[in-house]
Amino acid sequence: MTQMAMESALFAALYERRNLRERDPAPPSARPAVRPGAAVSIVNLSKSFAGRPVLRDLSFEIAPGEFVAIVGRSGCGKSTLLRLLAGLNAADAGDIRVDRRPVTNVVGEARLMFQDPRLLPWRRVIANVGIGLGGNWYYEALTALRSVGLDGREHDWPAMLSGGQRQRVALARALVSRPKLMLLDEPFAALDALTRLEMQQLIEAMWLRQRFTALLVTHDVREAIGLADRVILIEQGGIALELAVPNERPRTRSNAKLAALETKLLDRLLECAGGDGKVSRFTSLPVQHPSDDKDQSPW
Amino acid sequence: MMGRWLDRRGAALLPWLLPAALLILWEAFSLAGVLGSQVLPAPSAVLTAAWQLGSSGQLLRHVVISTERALAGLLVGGSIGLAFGFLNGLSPAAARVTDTTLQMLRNVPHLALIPLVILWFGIDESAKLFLVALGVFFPIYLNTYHGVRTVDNDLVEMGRAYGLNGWEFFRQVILPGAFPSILVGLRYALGLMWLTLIVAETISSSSGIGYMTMNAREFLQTDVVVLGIVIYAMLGKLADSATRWLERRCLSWHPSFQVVRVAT
Repeated sequence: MTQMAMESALFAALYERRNLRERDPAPPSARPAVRPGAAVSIVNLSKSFAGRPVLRDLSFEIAPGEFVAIVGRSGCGKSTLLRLLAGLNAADAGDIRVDRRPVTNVVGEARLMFQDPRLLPWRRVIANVGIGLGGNWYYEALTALRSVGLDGREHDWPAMLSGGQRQRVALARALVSRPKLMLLDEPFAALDALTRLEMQQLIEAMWLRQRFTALLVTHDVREAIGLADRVILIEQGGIALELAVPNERPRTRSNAKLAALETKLLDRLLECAGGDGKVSRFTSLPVQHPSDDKDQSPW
Repeated sequence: MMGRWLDRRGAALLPWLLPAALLILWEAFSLAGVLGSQVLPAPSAVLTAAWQLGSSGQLLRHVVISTERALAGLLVGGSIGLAFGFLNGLSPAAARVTDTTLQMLRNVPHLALIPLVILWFGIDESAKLFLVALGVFFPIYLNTYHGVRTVDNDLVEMGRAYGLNGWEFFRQVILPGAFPSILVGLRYALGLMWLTLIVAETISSSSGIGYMTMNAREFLQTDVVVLGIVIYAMLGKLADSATRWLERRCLSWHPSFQVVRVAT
């Protein structure tokens, strides 16, 4: 009953704002387009669930504006790390700082993107993007929607969108507050191959434009190497391997250096599993010649 | 074009086909003398009674009084049910304190309390209000509680991660998430509301449809008794339709309701 009243109030507000928009086509942006990313420092972080240690004594740093990918098998603690950084769970021991401030609760500067879009099905697309925003939220949400290529869909229900579109709305929702730290919890895992490529390019483009610090958690080694400046491999709650990725963008799928990195990471992952088999022996990884680099298709 | 119009008309009329056929059969049996007018008066006789009572203003008075009692009971019992449902759904501590007690009370048939209620309140309005409120409390409480408890945990987490808290969190995540379940509770409650009121009014009252039918029984006015029953059926249907309308209005985001809209 109250819901109804609230909905009609919302629509009245939306309608009013739409009229405003028509009168004033270029609303001034309240926030600067580029804000430096946040510096992240993690020191001796430990966390266990029901007596089972998930993260042990983990330490690393992320420079402002850096794109770091964390890879590992499922259950290695990589998602837990992200949840600790987002302030959704508390650590047992250790210190997490974002821009030198300890993370104790949900941080305003950080935004978390989940594996699934997690849109509120009862709010329209635009309201989902503007969730938790105040002030001039409608313009900002609209701009964010436009930046992910979904202008014109703002008044649809989430149920009317495809899976990829919903995840793009979720990206717009994460971007709209211009976060200084973007936490990405396997945001591509539930997408089909083509949509995944589009989404990866979109996130890379957004990162290049807004320069937030990005931390991507994934089990897909190729994805990590394709996007990140640095890849950290986590095994049994600790850092097993850390690799810097040559910083050339856009990256091509057939880059020999990247392919070599990929093989190295995969080999290490499989070693940790106890097998002695090298990847190259039983998978068809594209270890290609540098001459193939002309192929400009996204990796 | 014409065919489709007829199709749509036909689809709208279809649910009424069976009741209409039964009415015609009933009237025919009465005319043939198979059904005695003291057992079951003909539909036409019931209509005549409705006309007579209606034109004297008595019928309207009884209907208005009964509806007032029903809605007042729904308002009181429903608000308390909603409040406890939200409280226990959101606070495990509150649920631990009150839920067991409420579950025990729920298993007492509330109509079994009528003798006690008469002892407490006599036969005035508060007795009926109490009974109706008690009747509607449990379905609303249970479904609100269940609705709040089953709000998608992922959305709860998302809401927290995106800085919603307090009233905004409740308004944007909990309330709409629990709403479909609350509406189910409301539909159950409306059924119980009329049921309780009928019983309460037939036992102790000097006005209302229940009183009207009991009074008619004493004077062997079977047509008025049947009229009272028909009115209850109509009021029940009306209440159900109102909830369904509310459902369509408030759950327009829901995929199952969108399909309906696209199909018509």
